Amino acid sequence: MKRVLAAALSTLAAASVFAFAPEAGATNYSLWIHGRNTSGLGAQGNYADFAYWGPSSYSAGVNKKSVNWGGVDRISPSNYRVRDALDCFCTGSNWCYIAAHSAGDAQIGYTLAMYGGSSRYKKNAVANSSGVCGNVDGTTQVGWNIKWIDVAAGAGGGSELADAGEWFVSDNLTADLVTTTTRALYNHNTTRSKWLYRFAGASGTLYSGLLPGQDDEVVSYHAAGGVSGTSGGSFCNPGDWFCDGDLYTGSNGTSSGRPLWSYQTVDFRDDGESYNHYTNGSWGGIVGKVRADMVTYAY
Amino acid sequence: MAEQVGARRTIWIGVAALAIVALVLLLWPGREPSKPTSPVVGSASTSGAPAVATADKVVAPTPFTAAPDGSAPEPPKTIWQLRLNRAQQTLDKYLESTRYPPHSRPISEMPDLQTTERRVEKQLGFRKKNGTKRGDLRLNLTQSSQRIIADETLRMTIACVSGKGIEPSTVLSARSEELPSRGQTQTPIAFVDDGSHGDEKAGDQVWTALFQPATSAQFNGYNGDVQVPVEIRCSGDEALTYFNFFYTANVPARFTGKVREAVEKGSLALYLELEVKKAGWYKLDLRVDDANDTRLAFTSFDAELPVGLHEARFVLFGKLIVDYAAQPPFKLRDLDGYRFVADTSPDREYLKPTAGPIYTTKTYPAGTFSDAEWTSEEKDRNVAEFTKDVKEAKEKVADEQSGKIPKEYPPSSAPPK
Repeated sequence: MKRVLAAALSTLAAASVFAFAPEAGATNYSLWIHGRNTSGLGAQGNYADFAYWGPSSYSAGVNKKSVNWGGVDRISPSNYRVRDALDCFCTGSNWCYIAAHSAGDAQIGYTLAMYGGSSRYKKNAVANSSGVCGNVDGTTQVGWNIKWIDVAAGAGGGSELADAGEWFVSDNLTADLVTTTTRALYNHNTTRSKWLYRFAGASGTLYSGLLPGQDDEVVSYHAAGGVSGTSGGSFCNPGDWFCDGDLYTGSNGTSSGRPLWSYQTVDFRDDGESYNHYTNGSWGGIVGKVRADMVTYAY
Repeated sequence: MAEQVGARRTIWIGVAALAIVALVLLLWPGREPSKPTSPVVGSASTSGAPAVATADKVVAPTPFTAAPDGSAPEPPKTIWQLRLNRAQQTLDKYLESTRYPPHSRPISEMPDLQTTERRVEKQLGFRKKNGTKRGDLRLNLTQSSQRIIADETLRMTIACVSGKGIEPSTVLSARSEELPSRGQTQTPIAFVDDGSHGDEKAGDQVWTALFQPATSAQFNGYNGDVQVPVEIRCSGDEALTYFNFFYTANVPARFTGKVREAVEKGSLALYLELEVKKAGWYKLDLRVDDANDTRLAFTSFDAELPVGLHEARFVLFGKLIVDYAAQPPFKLRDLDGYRFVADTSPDREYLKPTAGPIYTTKTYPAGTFSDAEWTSEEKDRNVAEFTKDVKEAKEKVADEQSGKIPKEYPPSSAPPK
């Protein structure tokens, strides 16, 4: 019964979005790209469904849109959802701020590296039920209109939980989140000169035996901080003696000399070990830090 | 590595003692715990309805706090001051980066792609087959590459490590499995520690395996991810861990070795001939050094190629040569890439990398190459928008300072309770 009610509400919400959606003209949008999502939260193609994140009443940047791409399939076959969203809201006279969580980091990184120079139809920001928008005038442009990207607990460097087989039985996406696989999936230095502001949580304890260095219970600092290389590493907050090195804030990489990928900066490092990976249905964990950042800077 | 782990153990003991002292001091009567600051989102309303973030902007300035070194505290920045900073940063960084086009970049921007080598070293937790962990043990894994192409051989090593160093271990089993069709077909893989088959030293407890997928019927014509589950016994427990790599059995194209060059619009165009067996979208990367072997450029080809002999055009951008005072002749090296298949998994078929030197260009007199910046509609569009953002933010900051609009400050983003 609950499922039927939820479906009905979801349909109603979607219908209301389409009915009152025309947001044409020069407009800025805040696109939220979620991470691994085995609970199936958020209807794919419905940009108003923030079930993955938390109450949609929360402020999360100007004209927020939820990019619901599924979160269980591999990056490549599910990436069209991200491109559809970018086409909708980040072409023509419209511009976007992007926020990504966990595997959403791999999604936006993959998009920019693989398709950042592709030709895109300028769209009208009015989506159909599949999340596809109409063309403005049939003209195209190269790439998307993106100002910058905020990343909470980025998994663009993979997670040792995938390496260790913690997630093997559940979804195909896990195969892409193996640290060596994610890191080889796309050129992380190719962002079309757009900057990624990274927010790394460190309150993890449950998987400390599997996740190297500081972690948020799903990803380690090597991934959340955008540390380059074919595999991860053990990076920590300053003062921790048991790691390969400290993760610096800014773009300076690590104290052991490992650089970050280009166009990445560690905007927040969780020295207080206070933020975990999980949204908890309420914009929680490290996502809360990114939400605050989007509220401040995405206008 | 063993020494490093041993030293860490000594440090652990010292730190444990310090931690006990610190804990006693922390719990000493009269010491109050620090109070968490308010979270971003308001607490639940009295009606029981979910709290709504209505206070994402606060009008009252956050209190000044003394700087740690005792110097005068910095006043908090208003939202528009912060926005101006980021807008200016976005514009400045974009202008700096886009002096060169996306397909011809300084190689310093590619810290992990300096060559075609994709060697992997990683240290994983000791996860027992029942899913529980041994916190005192780690598994050190190395593999010669993340991608294996055609007849290439993968070398893998595994060792069990504790605080005392490398522990005696035994590899119980290893096999190769395709992903995602795990377990349907398997090829056994032998790890040895007897100084043979790529093993560097007999009896050092570093187990080694050489695996050539092309010799296994399992991988005949295969393209995709492969995992190698390894069961290893160490210190009385058995762990299950995995190697992962990508295997392409049949390359979609090959570099014939032919290169031609031409100065075009102030840049050096480099045409590399490919024998294309499968038409499609090719993404290829080529590195370029200068005459002094200084690493200079990372150039990319990103376009469709039909079947047959065709040239892939790479560009060594003129301004890159000029800005880095790079001396011709230029040395082309390390070509790699793949045929990209959009929206499918696997999304690529790798070409066999050409590691090392490929070709040396002619010499060119000074002044041959242009120092003009890259221009494009894409760049103009971005610069115009970012410039507009800076202008708007500056005006808002001025309005705040003149009192025309109220000063607003960003929300606190304290950790959740």
